[in-house]
Amino acid sequence: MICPYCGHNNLDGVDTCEECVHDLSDFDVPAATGGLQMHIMEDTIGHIPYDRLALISPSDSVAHAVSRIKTIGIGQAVVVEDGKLVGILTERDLLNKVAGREMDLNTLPVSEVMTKRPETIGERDPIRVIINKMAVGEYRHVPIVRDGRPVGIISAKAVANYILKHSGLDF
Amino acid sequence: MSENGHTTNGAVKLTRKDFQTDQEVRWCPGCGDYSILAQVQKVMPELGIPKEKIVFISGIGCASRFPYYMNTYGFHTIHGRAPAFATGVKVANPDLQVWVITGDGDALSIGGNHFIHALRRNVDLKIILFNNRIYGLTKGQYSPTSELGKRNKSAPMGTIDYPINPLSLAFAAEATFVGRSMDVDPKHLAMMVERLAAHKGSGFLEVYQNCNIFNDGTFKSFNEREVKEDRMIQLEHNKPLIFGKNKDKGIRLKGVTPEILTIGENGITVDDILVHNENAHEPNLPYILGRMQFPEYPVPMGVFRAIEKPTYERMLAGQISAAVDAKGAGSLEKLINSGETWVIN
Amino acid sequence: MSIADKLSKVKIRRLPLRQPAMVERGASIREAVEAMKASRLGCALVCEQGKLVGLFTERDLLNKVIGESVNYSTPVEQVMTFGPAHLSLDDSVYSAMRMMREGDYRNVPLVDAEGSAAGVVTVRDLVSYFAEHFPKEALNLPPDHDQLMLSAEGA
Repeated sequence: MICPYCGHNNLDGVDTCEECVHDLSDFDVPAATGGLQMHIMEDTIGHIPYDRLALISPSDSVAHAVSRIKTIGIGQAVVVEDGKLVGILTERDLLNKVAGREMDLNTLPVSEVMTKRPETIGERDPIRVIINKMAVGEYRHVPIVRDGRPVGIISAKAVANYILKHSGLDF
Repeated sequence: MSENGHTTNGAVKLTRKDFQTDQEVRWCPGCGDYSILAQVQKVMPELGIPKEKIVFISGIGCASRFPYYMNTYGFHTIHGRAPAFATGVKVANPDLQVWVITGDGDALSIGGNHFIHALRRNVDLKIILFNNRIYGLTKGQYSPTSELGKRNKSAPMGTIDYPINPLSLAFAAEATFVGRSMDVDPKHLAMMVERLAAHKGSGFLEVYQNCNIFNDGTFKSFNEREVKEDRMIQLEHNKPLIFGKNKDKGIRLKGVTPEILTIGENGITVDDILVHNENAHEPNLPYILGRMQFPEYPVPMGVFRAIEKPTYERMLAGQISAAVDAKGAGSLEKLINSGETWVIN
Repeated sequence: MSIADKLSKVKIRRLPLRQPAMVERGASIREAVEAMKASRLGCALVCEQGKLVGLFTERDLLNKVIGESVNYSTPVEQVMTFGPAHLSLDDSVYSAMRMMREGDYRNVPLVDAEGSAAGVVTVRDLVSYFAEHFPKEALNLPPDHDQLMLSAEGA
């Protein structure tokens, strides 16, 4: 590791520079240096515009949930019980568990098809956390919660647009 | 598994959250171990095995803290001895799925013997070796996989130890499953963990893992995003060994030496390229592939070998039941008192 | 190379794309749905002799099929988007990001040099590609991000 103070080439992982004795212990830890890297380290979820919420309850019928989703013009609904997030109902749930099956959507409760206990994120979390959840966990929609209550939902599209905006490509 | 969140036997379908624990994960910020943990936790619920049927057993080292972070049974054992504990656990509880988490020092130096004998016996263990080519926990001494000439705390003028190739050792010990992946390719890593989980017998997965404190960037020359297609090769069963950004490079054997060819040059076509066979009974081809290193060759990733052989614990159970059939169930008390006993006054 | 350079120079074919769901033009909605489930993708490419003629997405399913009086044996072409916006495998990652942003798409079908349907790039593929450039910052994070440790403490 090159000492940023004197330029001495130290062994990896030393705590102090062998030449000038400056403390180097912080330099191995990922830190914000600039550009896009700095944005994802320091900007928070609040910097990304998030989608409006369609709120439904677990006992609602899937037919009702679908009509709520369509009215709001988004692709998923957030399922709440006593104000707390208990699940999400996404297009993928409808594709995998409803489409092509003989089911009465007017009597089928949302709780039967929703994704239970979804991954969540807080408004003050840095953006790299949402990138991690989407790239590592393969989630496309992550509800934003404040004290267990959903306040928004963030989509992979919003994250991609954020990256594009800060990539330095002018258009 | 049905799709309403329940398995066919009525159990609730688990998610990756069910495999997380309340323990603070004590790896350095930016450590590649986090990526491996995330993928193992992601694959676990897909296996459809109840948590109480899974055990993670480790030795000593940064990687070996793993069992604390998995909400399954776990056993943080002594240095290098995880394969021995795991063999005991599997033999006594053949219905458990037994994982061994180890590092390059733990498996190849301190526990070198336990490692090869667990592989040789074909015990049904899933061994993941986090290879960061350094001793991280003890703050940066060279390990059995550190590169020749590498400067570090215990070799300030560079190491003069020739490194060991973990895959060569695994082939020599006749492991029935051998694979390799890396922390920076989560998708591939998840696929390899799934394959390892599905294997019956001694399975070994080497994972290239970056230690961003004591050996930062040791794999960077070939596994960085922009160069990896040209410097690494993905092994796929029954498919030709093709690599490169434009998928125009391939591997052919010249005698027992691999050579790199360019498809479309000098009349070379896809048909000239060596086709990978992970099921070959003899480990000769995977051994040759496992020794390919950058910069001479692209570094192979994927499953090198996957063959089936009767497992140790099955054969042992077979011997026990054959003995019981022939002689009836034994009694330890009777055996101890069967003769040559005397009373001390 | 800066991120801007990468996005504008790297071709879409170099992303870790998944096998697309493809159905023939005469296929039913049910067949398209099954193909999407099998590929674990949110869309199916509808082709005629290998050429892309339409795209059927989860959004189409939600808006035009589920809860409507549409039978799953209906030909998928009645509910798909004809002649969808698409790109070539050799177009840049940047062009895919821009098309998604401008058209508000989550999936962009891809064609090869001969114009045959060759794949699909999804918005999550782009986020994953991006994450690969920042392994320390974005890939290697603890399961509970509130536990982010600030110093190199070791194990």
